Amino acid sequence: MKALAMIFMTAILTENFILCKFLGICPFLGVSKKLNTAVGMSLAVIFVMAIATAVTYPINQGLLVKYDLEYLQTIVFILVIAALVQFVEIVLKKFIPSLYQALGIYLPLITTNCAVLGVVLLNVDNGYGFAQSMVNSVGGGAGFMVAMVMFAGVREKLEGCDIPKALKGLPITLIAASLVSVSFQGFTGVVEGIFG
Amino acid sequence: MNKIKEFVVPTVTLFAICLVASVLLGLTDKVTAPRIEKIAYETQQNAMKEVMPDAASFNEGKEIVLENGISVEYSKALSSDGSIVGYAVTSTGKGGYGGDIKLMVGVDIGGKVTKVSVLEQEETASIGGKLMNQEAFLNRFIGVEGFAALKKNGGTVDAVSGATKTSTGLTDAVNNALLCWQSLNKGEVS
Amino acid sequence: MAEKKSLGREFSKGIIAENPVLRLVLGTCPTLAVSVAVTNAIGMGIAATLVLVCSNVVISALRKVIPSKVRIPAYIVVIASFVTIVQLFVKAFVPALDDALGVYLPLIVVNCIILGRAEAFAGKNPIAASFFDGLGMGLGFTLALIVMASIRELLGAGTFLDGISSLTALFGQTGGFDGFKNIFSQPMGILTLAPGGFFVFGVVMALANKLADRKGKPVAELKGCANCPMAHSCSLIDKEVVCGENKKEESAV
Repeated sequence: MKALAMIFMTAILTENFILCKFLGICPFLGVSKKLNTAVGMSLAVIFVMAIATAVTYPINQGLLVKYDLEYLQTIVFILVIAALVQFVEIVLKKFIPSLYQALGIYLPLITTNCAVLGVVLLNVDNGYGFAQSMVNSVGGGAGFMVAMVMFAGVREKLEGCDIPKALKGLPITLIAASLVSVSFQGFTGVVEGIFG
Repeated sequence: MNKIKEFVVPTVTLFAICLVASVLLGLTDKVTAPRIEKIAYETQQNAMKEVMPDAASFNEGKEIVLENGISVEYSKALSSDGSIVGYAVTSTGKGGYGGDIKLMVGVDIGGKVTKVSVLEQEETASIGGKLMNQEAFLNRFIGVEGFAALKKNGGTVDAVSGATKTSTGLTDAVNNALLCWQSLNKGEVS
Repeated sequence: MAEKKSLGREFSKGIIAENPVLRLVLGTCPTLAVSVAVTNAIGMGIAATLVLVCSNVVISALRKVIPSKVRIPAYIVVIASFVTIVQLFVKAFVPALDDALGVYLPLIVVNCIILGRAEAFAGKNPIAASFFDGLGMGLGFTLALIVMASIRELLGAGTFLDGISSLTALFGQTGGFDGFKNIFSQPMGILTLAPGGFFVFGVVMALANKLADRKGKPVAELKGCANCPMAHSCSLIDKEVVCGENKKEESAV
């Protein structure tokens, strides 16, 4: 249990997907302008990461590893994720329209999001079991959300600032992201401190 | 007829592309797999050789669970006449700044550390990570037996100021290797 | 003659005028992640360029065969295959690079530059043009990575081209030049960490914008989803929820 809690906290704080691992930068820079879209997108990412892990784990263990086909991992995982996202979108639209309204519109964006493929590949690389993989994925998604929500706040403040011309737009956004990332560097060692 | 165009054609095309792709990948794997395996084997052998320079060959690695619940992998190091000269232990240590530190530790037959080399670490590159590349620091563990402890805990190993956590993680990994030697000798595992 | 000229343009546009990283703002994740060292940047650049050129050529050759309904999955299969092939060869011949790039090597699959070029160019243009487009874009990506990595490695680690011998070994030179080491005794370590990545990217981007501005070109903008290869199937643009200011560029497929 402690080990799982450690994986979860590590995924949120010290190995934050966006701010430490640089996965999912496109939505981080593109969709973080407003708080409500940042939250919606993040919830959709958590959701997709969780089901992607739940589906790819048995496929990897039961088929790829069993028959020595590990080299097919990348291609199988990306196809499974793409198909899964489409499927979830259809199911949500038909059966839970309210949830579809809230999350559905973000789903197509997530297919080619490197954070989702990244978490699945990292779970395999780290040799995680099913429970560890699931915790790592949900934690990674939660970390994604923390970074998105924090950064949405920073960007809203940035709107009204007087910024030198050359830095306007993307450059100042990146420099702001750098400062947010500095604060996450401060978490290094904290998880071991809490649980160790 | 329209139905065929709408559903069958795309499905068949996609299927054909997947088929060609998997055949190509299978072929590439056939070509590269032996080389990849050879590289992994050589890396492992070299790492073991580095910490156990006296050994001529190494047995296949075996996993063992220590008393403290941590599992390590060890290989018997054999001299050229086939007698055991020690063990090459792959062990992990907790307490590092950036998480677990993975070491290859050579322990001779009498339970003395012969040499330590770093396999995996994620310490801060400019502080603790620097230690990992410094022979002089890692060599402090040579000759330690029984239990390695930092000086502040009454032991013999100098911690590096400013990188106490990295030093702790390293010491922990070395201790796990020594524990492995103890349980191998206690239970007479051969 | 005219044909040759336009091929040259397909090639050269990717390097500066339409540099995928600094002008189109694509492939930001690998740019930030592997620009820690110049050697990694070169390795990543070569790997991505190989995948990009191969996938562009194959997709262009198959552009009349692939039904438009399933083109995205078809492109993904083609790209993922080439990525895996490149990955296996890197593992077999340059294991040090595989260690350094780690998970970012298979993640070339979701590099928006590659799917983006497939969708925006290779799916509509002849093979030769697609080849040069891929080569130019790949080179532009590599150059941007090298610029970022030079700054970060030099100032952050105090080395330059460290570990380059693992790449030159590929051409039969073993034990040769392995990069400059210990240029500074006290490098700014933070530049090699995540914050340094964002910061250097921001500064390089500001410089690129300044240069573009001088030439009277528009500054690079984060167009949010408009750059995204999934834009066509995305309902966000319709609703203008996220990319409020971006009107949908192409009609729904």
